[in-house]
Amino acid sequence: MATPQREIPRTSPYSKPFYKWLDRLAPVGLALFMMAVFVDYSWWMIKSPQHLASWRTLIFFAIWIPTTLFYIIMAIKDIAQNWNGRWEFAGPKARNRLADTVGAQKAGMQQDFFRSVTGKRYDLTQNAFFRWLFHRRWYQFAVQLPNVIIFNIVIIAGLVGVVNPNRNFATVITWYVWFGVLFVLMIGVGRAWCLICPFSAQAEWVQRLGLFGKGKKLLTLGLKWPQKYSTLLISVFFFLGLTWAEEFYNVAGPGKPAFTSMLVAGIIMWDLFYALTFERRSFCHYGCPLNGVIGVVSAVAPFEGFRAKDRSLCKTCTTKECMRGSERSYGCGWYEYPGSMSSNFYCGLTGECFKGCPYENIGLSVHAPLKEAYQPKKKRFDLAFGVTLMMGALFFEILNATPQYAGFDTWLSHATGWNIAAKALDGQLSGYPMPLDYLGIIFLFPLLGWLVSLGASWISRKQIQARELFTRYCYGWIPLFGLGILARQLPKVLTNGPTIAQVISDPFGFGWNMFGTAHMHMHARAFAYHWILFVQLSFVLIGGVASLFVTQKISQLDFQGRPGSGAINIVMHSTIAILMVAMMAGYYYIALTNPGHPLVPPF
Amino acid sequence: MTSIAIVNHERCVGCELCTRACGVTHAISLNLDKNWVEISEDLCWSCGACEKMCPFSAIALPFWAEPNKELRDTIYAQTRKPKKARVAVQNFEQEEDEEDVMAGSRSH
Repeated sequence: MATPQREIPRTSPYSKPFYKWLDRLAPVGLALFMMAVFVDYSWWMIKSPQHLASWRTLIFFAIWIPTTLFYIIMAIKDIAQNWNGRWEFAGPKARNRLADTVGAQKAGMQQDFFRSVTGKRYDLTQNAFFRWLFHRRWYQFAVQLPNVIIFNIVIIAGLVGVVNPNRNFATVITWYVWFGVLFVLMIGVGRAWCLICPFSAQAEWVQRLGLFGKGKKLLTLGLKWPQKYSTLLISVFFFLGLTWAEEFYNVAGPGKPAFTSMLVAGIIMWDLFYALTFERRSFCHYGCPLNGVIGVVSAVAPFEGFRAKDRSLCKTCTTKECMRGSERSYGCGWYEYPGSMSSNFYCGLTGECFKGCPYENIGLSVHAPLKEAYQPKKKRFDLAFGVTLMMGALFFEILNATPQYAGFDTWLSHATGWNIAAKALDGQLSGYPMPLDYLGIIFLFPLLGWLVSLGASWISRKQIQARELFTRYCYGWIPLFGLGILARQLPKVLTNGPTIAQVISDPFGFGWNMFGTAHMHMHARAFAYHWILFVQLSFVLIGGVASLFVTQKISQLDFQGRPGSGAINIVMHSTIAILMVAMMAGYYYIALTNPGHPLVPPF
Repeated sequence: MTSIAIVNHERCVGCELCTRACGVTHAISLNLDKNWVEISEDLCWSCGACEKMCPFSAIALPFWAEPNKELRDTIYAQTRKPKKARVAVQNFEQEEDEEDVMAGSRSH
């Protein structure tokens, strides 16, 4: 953290009338926006040909009215408390004198753990506007609210809207837009999705009994998450389960919009259960099916998350408001301590630590991408194992589009009798995907990583443990996985995404025309059809090269000078290259077998 | 079966609040390489002060261990101000003055 810091002003910008009124009126504006959306949708619903007493209208208002009422009541409470600057940051406290002596000595002793990586970084909080914004209590709420409204409409649209998925807001938004935007956000900013996540937002609002204010009491049992289940693998297994269920019920196929609606509502209820039972954001850590994917892919992003600018000052801080909370902030919901963060895997960008730190010692730096993947000294086995499992899931997603897999899966389903069970479960008729081959393909990849690590350990004459090699080098798979999974979403997102123009004006397919775009000729599978493959291959190539770069850096930082490090480096690079070529070949083969594609050979 | 506190290495962030809480026996120390705390089995008296202090629940006594409350209260008595002084916020300053006078720490 050797970046020279500019002097931070001693007074709060809140004292200036402009900032004061902006702080007061921004939440008011958001509340009015919420009301406007409520009134607009209600008006169109009443005006539509549906009878007011029909079950569709009743479901609409049964969800729409209570949620909006809850938001409005909470918003009024928080706006009233925010009006007089109740949670305002008065200005930084004087620096602890011990920081330059005892603190610096303690930080120096851990220099190896917090190894600094060369290169430029720019701290966004040097800018007065960002500093002001991150101190606002409504900073997170402002980005959460539009998303919450969108996903509440998704739930309603799935339940009451038309069955045609390409004319239903639920399917189009969730699978054609959200699933693409999600990966772009991960690769671009890190856990930006977690910042705006509508699922945890609503659960957290209930837990905190407020939308953005800082209350004293929480509505939760506050149980601690059990120690032995504190691992990332839980969320990875949830992700694998969700992927299987999504394929089995053809939720994103696109299937019935009601399944999408039930999926979103189910995640919200599940999150709510966690929030009411466990402390902080236990769901985001140990329940969210996307936590593993987002955390891992965030390592590609050039944002390092909210982190201490000067660790020696943190070493002498006895109050730790960043973790424990203060009068104007909650403690970090993500169980992170900015004073010892070495990666952005678990920074949810909520900014509570920034508001809490009395010394104004938290920054949000932008640096070269990929650093977060190789920089951490403390690399974790469960995370590495999770990366290999998710790589397996990605390869499954590629393989399942091939005719050979379809034939094999159908045969296995019939041979094992799975197709009968699938009928009972109301899934796909052929029983696709058969759980055995699904898990078999996925577990091939941890096995591959482990075998390569065993070989590498043998090269080092057992001087380096296979577990250590597996743990550290599997971080090198991250960029390939991140860009590879984005490439997998591209066909659906790019070819079908423009149908958003129609459904945004007619979300339920009732014949509305809210924004005048309902009759635009935007058909599914009509866009970007011919050149999509080349974008996919480019993404995989970029991901592969980035993975090779990260692997090289890991070799330099973690294994330089150790026995057999040169040969191990070559083995690990070769593994990445093989994975990259296999992935590119997979995407190319899918395109070839796709009828109508210009690259299909003439037979 | 050991009854000393157990550290969750996944959750421990090395903030050292527990090492401050363990101010009498000094059973907890930071592993500088791993950035997590470790507990000395010989020194830990299972008082549970660290468990109470940890904001992230990263350190806890095993469920079968009964916290040594007498020891914990002794530690609190030595390392913290008397409870009375922290109860009523509105009378905080007044009570503090009284205690200081009683302890003879301030000359009038």
